[in-house]
Amino acid sequence: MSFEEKIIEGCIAGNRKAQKALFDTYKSSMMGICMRYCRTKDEAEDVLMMAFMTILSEIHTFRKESSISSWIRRIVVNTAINNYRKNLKHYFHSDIDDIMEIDIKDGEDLQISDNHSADAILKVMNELPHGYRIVLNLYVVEGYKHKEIAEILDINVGTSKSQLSKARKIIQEKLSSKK
Amino acid sequence: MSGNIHNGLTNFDSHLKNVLDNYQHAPNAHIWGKLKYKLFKKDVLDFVSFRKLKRSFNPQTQVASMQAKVWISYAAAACLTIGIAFGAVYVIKNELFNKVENSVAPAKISQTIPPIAKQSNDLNTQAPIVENKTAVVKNHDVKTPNKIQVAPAKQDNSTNKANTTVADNNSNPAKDSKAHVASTKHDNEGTKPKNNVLNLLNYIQKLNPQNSTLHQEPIVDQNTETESEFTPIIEPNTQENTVNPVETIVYNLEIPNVFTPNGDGFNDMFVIKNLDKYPENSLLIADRNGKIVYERNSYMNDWDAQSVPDGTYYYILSYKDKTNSKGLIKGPITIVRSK
Repeated sequence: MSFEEKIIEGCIAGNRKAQKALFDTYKSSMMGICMRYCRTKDEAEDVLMMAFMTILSEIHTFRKESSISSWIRRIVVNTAINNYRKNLKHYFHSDIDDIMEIDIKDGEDLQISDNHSADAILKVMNELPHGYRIVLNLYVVEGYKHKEIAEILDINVGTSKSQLSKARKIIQEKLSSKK
Repeated sequence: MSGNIHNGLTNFDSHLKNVLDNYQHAPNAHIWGKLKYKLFKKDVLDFVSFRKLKRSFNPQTQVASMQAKVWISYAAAACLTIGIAFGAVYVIKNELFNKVENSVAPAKISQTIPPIAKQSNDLNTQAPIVENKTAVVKNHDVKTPNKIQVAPAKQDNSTNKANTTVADNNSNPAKDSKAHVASTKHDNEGTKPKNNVLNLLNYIQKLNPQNSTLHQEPIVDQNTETESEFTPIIEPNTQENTVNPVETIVYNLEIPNVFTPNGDGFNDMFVIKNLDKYPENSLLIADRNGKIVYERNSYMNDWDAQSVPDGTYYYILSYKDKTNSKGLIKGPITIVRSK
């Protein structure tokens, strides 16, 4: 039995030490995910806590078909999306019609230099409108398709597409201007 | 520009994915503390509500400890249930007992007085015993018809620090519960030799309840507090049932919804039929804006709607019938003058 399996068994039995070990193993990377989806650090921590409450109380349903990290990651992402949907009315939500048009040529590849640190990119991302950031996260990082994103967020496919391209453009512009 | 497309993502996207995917951010240290607290709360809730049971019988988990916890909780629940059940039985028994006690005629109880009083007197003369334990008079003792006799004896007990009845109880254990209660009651009376005369008087008074006025006054003065706490139960033979059956004939008030005060002799007044059967009444009429146009106590069917234009008005009629129960009728009334 590997160390990870031991931890999982302990978590199923409700062993507090095993739960802490699991949390300590994944807290940094999962906090990174939460930071991408949430506007502030406090909100991200809330989402992280909610996600881990779900993980630790439902870990007996983990079927060990995939790795535990991807299972945890999926729960964290879903919790973040739920949190976004729940708090949607509280966010400053800009409608598609209010957005200034930005011309993007089809297939134009936006350049991003390697010397931008993740923190800088994240800072720029946090300045994006909330919907843009969620779409960008879901499409680029999580690998959802536009159709799936539209279903998850209850928006149009076109909205998803346009928000993604605009998010890309804004990030590009902001990064280059900061440079 | 298909060369830039890689895995469905542009270079920009893939770079972004690489950067963001591996992005890590250490959360605050206190997060684990919060999480631990929440988990603890959830564990407690699970334990209380048996939510964890379903998965505890998974062989991979610590079945034995969970089972032990479960059995302990079952045992606790069983104890609680048994306790509640016994309590309920006790209460019900007391209730029934009270009813039986109340239904017994006072004469029957009084018959038990002389031998017991004698006994207690004998005991008192033999040896003054222990302490004043029987100052506690149970509720059902006080509620019984001969409450008036019990209470002063109790007070004598407490003031004079009289002897107990423990020995008395032991002396006649064979009696059934009713007689037992009666005996404890009258032990209180018979505890003090000074009270013998009073006992005798009480006894006589019981035999002849009509003469009870002789001794009622001082007794009542002594025990106004206990008297006021409990509703006195009417002693048969002492008080005549003075309540006469009230004739209850209900007269229906028939209120019209329209009348025509135009002086043609028909329906010129606002007449409520049978209102004279309810002399205690008050009528209030308001217009549609809530402004009161007519107000009268003991209305005599004489409102002819002078200086009031046609239209719809609303009346509120309150009355008392002979049994003093109040009634309230509200409704609309229309005034029409033109033919």
